[in-house]
Amino acid sequence: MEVTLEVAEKMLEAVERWASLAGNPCSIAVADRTGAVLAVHAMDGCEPWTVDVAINKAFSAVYGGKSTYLLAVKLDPRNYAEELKEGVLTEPYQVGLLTQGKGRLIFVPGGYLVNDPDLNIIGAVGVSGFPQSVGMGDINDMTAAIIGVSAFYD
Amino acid sequence: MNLDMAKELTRAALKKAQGMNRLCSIAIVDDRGFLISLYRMDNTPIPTVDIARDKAWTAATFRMPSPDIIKFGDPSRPGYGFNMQNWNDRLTTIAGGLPIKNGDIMIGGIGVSGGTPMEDVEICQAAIDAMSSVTT
Repeated sequence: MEVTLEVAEKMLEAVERWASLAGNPCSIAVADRTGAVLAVHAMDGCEPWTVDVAINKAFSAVYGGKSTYLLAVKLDPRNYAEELKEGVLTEPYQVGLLTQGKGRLIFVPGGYLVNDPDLNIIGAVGVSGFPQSVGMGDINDMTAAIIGVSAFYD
Repeated sequence: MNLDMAKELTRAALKKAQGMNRLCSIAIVDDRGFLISLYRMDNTPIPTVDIARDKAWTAATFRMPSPDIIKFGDPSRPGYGFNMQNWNDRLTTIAGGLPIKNGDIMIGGIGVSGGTPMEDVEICQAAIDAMSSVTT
């Protein structure tokens, strides 16, 4: 099973349709198992930086081996700022990862993995442009990325 | 330049590349050099993605085909040294990036990477020709 350009286009279309229904332009990137982009779209009216963030979110998901939402748990300095003051980290935070990836690693929610039935990583979707909101069922980058991933399995 | 136009351009370029039996990456940027769409055909080498984007950026921001940047190597010319500055880490002098114009108005740039420089330019030109009915 592989993410091909043909499927990637289908995934982009699905997110675009959903984003225009939500009334929020965004950038979408689909990467293959190497983390390199297969297809990227910047919708009309979105900020220029969103396209770079979308590409890097897809890369980060492959690079870190999990969705960028889960990467944030181990990476976001806000999670261990208090513990750093004490001088002891109680959890195995991956602080060293922060500077890796030549500045491309990003741990903001919005990058989501595509897995085959054996749970091997075969690709990723990155979305940027929605305001970040937290809570189940909210419209944000991560739910948009999940729309793209589910289009792969259609 | 909008996403629909970028899709049309990419489709034309993909068709041309498949006809030439070449694997390539295709980047479309708007008139400010910002990326609108970026495609990499299956099994195309990974670095072609960034090279295609660099070519499109160079063509769009300098408003000339990407190899013409070497003209700035001439000290008697205004803008001497632009070809050496490489700000934004995107400047390239490799052929394969063309500006997209509607008459005199810049609307964007296209960059292709994957074949020989001549083939890349051919694919760019094919995409722009296919769009000419819309852009002019």
